[in-house]
Amino acid sequence: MKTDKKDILIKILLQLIFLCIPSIVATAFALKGLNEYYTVFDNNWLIQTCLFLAGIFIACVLFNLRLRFLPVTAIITCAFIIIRTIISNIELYEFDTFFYLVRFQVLSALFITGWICGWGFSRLKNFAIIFAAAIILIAIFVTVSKSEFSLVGIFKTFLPIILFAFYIVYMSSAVRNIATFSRGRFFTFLRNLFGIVALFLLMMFVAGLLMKSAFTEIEATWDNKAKKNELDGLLERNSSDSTYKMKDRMRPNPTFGKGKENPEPMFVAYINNYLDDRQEIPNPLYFVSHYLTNFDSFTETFEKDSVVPYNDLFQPVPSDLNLYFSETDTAIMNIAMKDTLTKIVDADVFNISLSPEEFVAPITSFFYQPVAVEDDYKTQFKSAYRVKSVVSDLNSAYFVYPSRDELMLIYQQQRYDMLAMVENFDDLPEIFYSYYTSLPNNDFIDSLKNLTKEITANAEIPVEKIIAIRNHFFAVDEFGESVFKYTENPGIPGIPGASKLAHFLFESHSGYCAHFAGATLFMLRACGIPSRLTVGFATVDRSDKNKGWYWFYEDQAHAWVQIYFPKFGWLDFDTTIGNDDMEESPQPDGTPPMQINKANFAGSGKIITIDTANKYVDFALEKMTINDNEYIFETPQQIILDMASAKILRDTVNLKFSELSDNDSGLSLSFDDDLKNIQPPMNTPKSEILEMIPKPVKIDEFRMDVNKDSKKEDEKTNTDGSPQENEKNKVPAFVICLIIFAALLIFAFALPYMIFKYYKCRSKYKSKNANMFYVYKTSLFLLNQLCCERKNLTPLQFASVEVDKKYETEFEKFIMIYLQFKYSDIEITNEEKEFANNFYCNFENKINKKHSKIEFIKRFLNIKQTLKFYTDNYGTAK
Amino acid sequence: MEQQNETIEQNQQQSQITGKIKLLIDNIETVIKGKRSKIEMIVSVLLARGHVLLEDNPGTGKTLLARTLAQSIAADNARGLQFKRIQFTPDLLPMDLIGSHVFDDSKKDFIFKKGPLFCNVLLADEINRASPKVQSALLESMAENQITVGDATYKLQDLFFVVATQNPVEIEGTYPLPEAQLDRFFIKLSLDYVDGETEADIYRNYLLIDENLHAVRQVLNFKDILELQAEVNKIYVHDEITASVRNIVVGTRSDANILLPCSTRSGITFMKCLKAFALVNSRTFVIEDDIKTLAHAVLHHRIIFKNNDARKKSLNALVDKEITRLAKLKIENDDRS
Repeated sequence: MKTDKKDILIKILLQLIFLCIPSIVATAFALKGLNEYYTVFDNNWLIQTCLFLAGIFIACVLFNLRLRFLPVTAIITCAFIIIRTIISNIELYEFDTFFYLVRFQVLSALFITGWICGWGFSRLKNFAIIFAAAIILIAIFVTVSKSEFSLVGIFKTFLPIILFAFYIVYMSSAVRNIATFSRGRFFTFLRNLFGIVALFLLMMFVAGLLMKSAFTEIEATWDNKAKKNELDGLLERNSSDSTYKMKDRMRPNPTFGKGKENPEPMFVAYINNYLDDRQEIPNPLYFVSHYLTNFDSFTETFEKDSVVPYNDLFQPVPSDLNLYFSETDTAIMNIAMKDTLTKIVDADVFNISLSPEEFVAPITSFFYQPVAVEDDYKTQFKSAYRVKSVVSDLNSAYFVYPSRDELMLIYQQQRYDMLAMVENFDDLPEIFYSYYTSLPNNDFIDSLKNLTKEITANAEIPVEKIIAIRNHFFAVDEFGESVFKYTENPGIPGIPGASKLAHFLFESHSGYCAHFAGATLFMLRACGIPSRLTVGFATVDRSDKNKGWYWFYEDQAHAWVQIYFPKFGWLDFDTTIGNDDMEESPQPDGTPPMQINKANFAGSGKIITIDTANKYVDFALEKMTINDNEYIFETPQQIILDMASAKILRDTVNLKFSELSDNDSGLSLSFDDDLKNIQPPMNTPKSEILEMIPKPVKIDEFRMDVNKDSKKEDEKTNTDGSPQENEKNKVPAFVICLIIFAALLIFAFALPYMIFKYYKCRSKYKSKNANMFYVYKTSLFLLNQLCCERKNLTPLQFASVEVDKKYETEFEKFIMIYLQFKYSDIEITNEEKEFANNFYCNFENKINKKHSKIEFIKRFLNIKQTLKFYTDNYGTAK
Repeated sequence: MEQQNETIEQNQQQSQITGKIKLLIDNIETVIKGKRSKIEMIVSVLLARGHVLLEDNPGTGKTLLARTLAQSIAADNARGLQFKRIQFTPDLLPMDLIGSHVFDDSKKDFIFKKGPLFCNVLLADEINRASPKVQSALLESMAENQITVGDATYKLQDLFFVVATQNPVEIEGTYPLPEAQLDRFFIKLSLDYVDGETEADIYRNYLLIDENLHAVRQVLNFKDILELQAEVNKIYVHDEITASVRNIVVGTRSDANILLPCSTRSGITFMKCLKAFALVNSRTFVIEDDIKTLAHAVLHHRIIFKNNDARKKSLNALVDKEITRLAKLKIENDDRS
């Protein structure tokens, strides 16, 4: 009995020291991380750890003293329920009770976790594995909830956790295996422990050394990406080609992102819109990407709605369209043109880092035409397109803010007068009106309605209400400071789960465009004014030199509100308070590509014949655009092209005229001014239009279609060319590791056969006579690989009982000779020698007969079997 | 030429010896079926000048085996070897075994009347039924090959072979042999039941058993046995085999599960048995198979184990370890290759 008690005591001590204390340290580590990110934990990880410690210690001691699990758990559960009811019944202030209850639950949960851990360590065999997995899971959870992704940070989190996981799994089995405590065993145990830890550290160190360059690179890209993602809540970056796209959802987050020193330019646009006829006062327009008309009040997220009444969003698919061909949505155009005071405005957009699928244009766009970028600007701009929009005279980025410019004031007054003509929205269709004035139903909206009523108390007509709402956001306090402030980091509301918009509107008064736009939208709708949330780019006029050219940077991504005025259409309305960063670009705008190649004639088709003398080409025309009017011919029409001054291009390569051949298809472009005069009325037959085209047509540019074959070739050359060189520099560590790994794998699988071959060589060629030992070893190895193991039999028994019966060989005879050779003092006779020399060939043949080739190969790939050959299997004797 | 002649001579001699042993074993097998390996072991002990203890359930053929063996080498006549059988009972006295002084009227003196111990082959049936006094009397004679009565010491015959049997099931009223006395027996064998085929064969021919027993001839005589015993000493034992025997014996001493390990004497006995067994298997050298076959029979009864589990495993583990060592061992025979 006495020794038993001592054993148990030692067991408890070992478990406490080697399992529980490290677990507690790991848990403390995890708890600290959790506390930083979850308010439930209430930031006292020390007390939590203490409770966990109490749980694990008590459980470990008690369960080692042979306590039963179920009754004890029942007692603890009872105690838990009783204390919980007591706490909830204590008459305190309601909030305090709730607070204490939550705290109690968290702490008791931790205590119980500790208790279960203690029980597991003392009773369950594989508990350590479960525990390690759980800890790693928590670590992953914590890492994911961290917004910052840095490799060092992840390493700092994971290295100790993984180390701990290894440690606890190894240690628990080690502690379990110490049946009795003896000095010698204890030292072996310690030595093994330090050995494994040292080995693991060494492995990490070597891995770190090998992968360092790869790691830093990954880190750099991650950093970049993370910053990009953070910078703007409205843009998202394509990971594949690092272009930008507008998000189709938006929510007022606690942080908008950190400001960036040098925001990237997204695109450059020329808007042919001026306030005066002399084209001296440019009238900038906001660029719309899309509308977020759906609101999820639970997550406070504005989303794109799939179905919108009277959709006026023009969404061409830019990548689907060939150069110089256009897409026109006449439905949208017709709707927009009904409004008064509208005109058609041209805009040219030069894309720098927008995604190719992204399409931005001033409202209300209806025409899209991709155009080629001039060669000189090709490095700067990726693509370009022209858009046409129906724009109201009343719409302007200048009307947004109260201006100090007198001229502007006049224009603003004019606009106000016009808009004042709208007195109600009675004429609007019911679906349209209710869709654009719908509000979610909750407390926040109620209080918002009250506020709106207060603000617009004196306003009668819509425009007055709108101005009142705008003034609310632009209001200044008694010290001349504006009440609402623009900040990219408005912070979290004090109560978790509270509405961020409410927090913005009633408490903090600081936020970014999403807050301003969201609040404004609801206030407008509360007044019954149809309005919608728009995302896109705010336009800022910064340059005096190039009038009408605007540069758009990352930080100009914006959200604002559009209001619908009957007869005037949708007008931009921005209540976001001045963000000084946005007004002034940190870097001077670059030189815009002053002119855009406006092709007067574009025709695609096939070359029929080539007249090399005059450089004329007979061309079968399939599709034609003249002055933005598009014509498609069902049967190709033959025209003559004058290619004398034409630039011939294939992709980006300049070709000579002589390189053209029959049946080449392509696109011919003409910038000839003569063609400008061809302005056929809308319904002119195609044949007549063809008549109007001069013969031959002077062609300035001919773009050959890139054939599929040549495309492939291009791709090939691309992959063979520079990109791979870059990759070569990028991933050598990874590739080398992969190669080494593959080589090791192949080596491992080839190992059995190599050993076999080695033995065979040794057995044959050492001397004239076969080397008995290696013949013996080769045979045994071969048999072992074929799953015929010696096990605990002596060679002779093995030969007679297993091998000869199975394969009908003369192995026993050979073994007998071998044994005589090995143990006796008598020389073996020549006869026997001869037998031994010839033995192996026959032996292998007989064995080969019994096994198919495939089976043979399969068996020889089995490394485990090889290991069996070299490990002593007497230990498994039963 | 001379060398060749020598080897031929050696071979002839060898085959002669092998023939004799084979004759003996075959002779025993006419009566005892399906137990060749056990018979081989018993013959080995005979050749190694040792004694055998057979322990098994009643009816497994212990006595029959002993009798057949005795009959094949000794006949109850003046010329040949003498075979005696004693049934041990609790009331048996030492003097019943060794003999006593009786008064001779004609000489007016006490003369020593020799007991059944003075023979060549002794079958001591159910040895554990006799009192320790009797047992020790027997065991002394086995160890010393002599008997001391009063002030006179009588030497036993050169060939003195004891086959003792005991019954493991009926322990009541028995005096189990202490380990120290078990040590005197070279091997302790259990005969085990024969396999099904042989069993059926025995049933079919049960009438023949008695008949055969009576028909068992004496195939070897006193001189033959002594020759064979001398031959045993010529068997070559490789150093590695000796090393393995040592490893096993020493291994029992460091095993935590063994209370009483093997003594040096048991090692010597083991060596003797190995040599004899090699000869019985018509070899002139010892191989690892001999160790594997004999280790349990020779060593197991000399060891006291801590528990039942150890009784089953400990020795086997040691032996298997040595067998593996020998099987993998590469012995460089530079002078011969």
